[in-house]
Amino acid sequence: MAQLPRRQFLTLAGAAGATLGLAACGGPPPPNPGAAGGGGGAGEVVVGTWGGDYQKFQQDFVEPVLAGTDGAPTVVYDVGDHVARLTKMRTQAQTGGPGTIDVAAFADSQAQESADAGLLARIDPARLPNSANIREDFRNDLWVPHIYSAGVIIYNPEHVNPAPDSFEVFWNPAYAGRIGIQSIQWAPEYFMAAALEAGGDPGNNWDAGWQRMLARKGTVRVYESQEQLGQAMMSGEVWLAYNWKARAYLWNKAGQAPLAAAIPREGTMPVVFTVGVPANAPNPDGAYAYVNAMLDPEAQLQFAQNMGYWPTVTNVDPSPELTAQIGFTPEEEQKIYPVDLSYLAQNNERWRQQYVEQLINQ
Amino acid sequence: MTFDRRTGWLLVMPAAVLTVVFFVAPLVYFLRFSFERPSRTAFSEPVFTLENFARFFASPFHVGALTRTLLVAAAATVLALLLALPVAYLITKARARTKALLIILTVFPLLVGNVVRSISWVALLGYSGVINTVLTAVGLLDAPVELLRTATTVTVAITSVVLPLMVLTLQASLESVDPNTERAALDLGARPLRVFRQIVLPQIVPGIAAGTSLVFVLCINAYATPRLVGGAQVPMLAPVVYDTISSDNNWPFGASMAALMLVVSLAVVLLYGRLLRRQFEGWRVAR
Repeated sequence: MAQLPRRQFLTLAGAAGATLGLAACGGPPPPNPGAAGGGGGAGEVVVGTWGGDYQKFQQDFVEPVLAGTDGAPTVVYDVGDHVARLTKMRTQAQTGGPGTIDVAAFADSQAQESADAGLLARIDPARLPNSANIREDFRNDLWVPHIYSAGVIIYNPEHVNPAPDSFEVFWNPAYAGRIGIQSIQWAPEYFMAAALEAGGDPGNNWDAGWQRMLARKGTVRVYESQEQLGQAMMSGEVWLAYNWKARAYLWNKAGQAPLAAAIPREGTMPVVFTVGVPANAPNPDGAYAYVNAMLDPEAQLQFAQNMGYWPTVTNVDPSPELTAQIGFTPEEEQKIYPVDLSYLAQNNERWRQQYVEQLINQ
Repeated sequence: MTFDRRTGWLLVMPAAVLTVVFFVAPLVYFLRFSFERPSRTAFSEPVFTLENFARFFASPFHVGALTRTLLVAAAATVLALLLALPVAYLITKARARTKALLIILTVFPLLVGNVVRSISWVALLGYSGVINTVLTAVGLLDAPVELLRTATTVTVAITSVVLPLMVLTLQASLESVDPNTERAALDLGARPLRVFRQIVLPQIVPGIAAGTSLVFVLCINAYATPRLVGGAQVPMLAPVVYDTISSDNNWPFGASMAALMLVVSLAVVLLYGRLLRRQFEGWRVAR
């Protein structure tokens, strides 16, 4: 009969114990509550959203509005970044059956990708009374605009002199090593280089600035999230970034470094954060109730005051001070070029790979 | 103490069944994508192709990520072995009460989770982190320096994550060494270091093989630490696989990289285990 020597048994037991210890501490994250039992059941709406402040403000400002409606559903948040959410929805659509998400939050370009993939149900305005107040230029059949901002040059006036008025500042050797970019946000960087190349609206030719972008390799500091970049801007680690005006407002509110924002003379791009109702949403009634609450003027004003994003509905009246901090004058609005989201959706994957592999990779 | 083979199999069977059903089957299902084409509207296009592997080896970025992953994993494994050996030996020689305390201290980091431990490295090494703040305050640095986002930092951070596992594995192996063999060598005039090198070390080869293999595979597959400490500037394979599937929805290419990780891990561990045993057996017999 084969025998297992005591020494080998102890060794294997030790390794097994260590492995179990690892499994106990480094295992997968807790299960998604929204996925339990195939998603939102009766009276429950599952909101696929970003974590952090956005979700917190949804809880603080949208849920109270929702709670005031008849038969309000219970809200469950399915937290993750929007690319992961898009993949999850694609996966669920491919496997058939009901999904697990009732409301899906996306930046506009991912909303377009979702729509292109046939993942979103057409919005029925009759079930969304507050949609009557949506700004005309933001109306869409497949998603609902929630909040809005546009790209600005965010800079630290203590170190960046004179005040920049052009994207050229990001190629100024004096600021090499003091410019922050994100590994997860590439489209604005492509826009910036292309706008500089075109001397204005780059239209659908964002690749034109690629060589110019590559020239920045080694002159930028790379961060993995808005929070990391914000921390770097506020601590003085970096002095310059091209980011949403809302971020400048937020980082200024945190107040560690004086930050200013300027719209470049070449013009800039907008960003609209949206919500859609997946075609396979298990609780579309709950989804409409929740999205309608997101468009409520009080909830919109609270998002503006707390997160710095401009309302997408016309029945909100922000103060002049808030307007100056996060809004755009009519002249500035002229410099915010509409973006062909289908063009972005078609090129996103290629741009990401090129950006990560050639610009960011050391 | 010995176990007969049938008892061993009976003990292993429940875990084996669970592993096959919940681990091997999903893994095989996923890896089949690596031989298919990417699709915008489905997981993949069901045609047999080797394009994904060709694309991988044609891409300097991806080959670089694989090379970097292997080098970091190897360096972290060696570092963990060197750091764990004396600690494991100390635990083995300690009295019962002290031994229990030392084991608790060793296990304690495992209770925290590697994400938290990786974040603590960021807090230590970041631009506004403890080290930069202290060095700037005492005048050793004029301005904070970039300590994060390097392969070296990632190696150190991964080492810290796997170190307790290496200590526990080696300690289990050292416990099985008969103390009389050491006493005999000391009695014959050998110095402690020579005793360790020529008497103890050959006896714990199975433990070293198990510990280093386990740790090496964990290092190759590390996700949270490279992501948090290295970021996109130190691309390693597990985060690259995740991004390929999550951001690009490219299941076939992601699966092909996962398959390569699996093959490389298995090949390295099997070859290394065999070489190590053969070398030590020859070394022991020669003496």
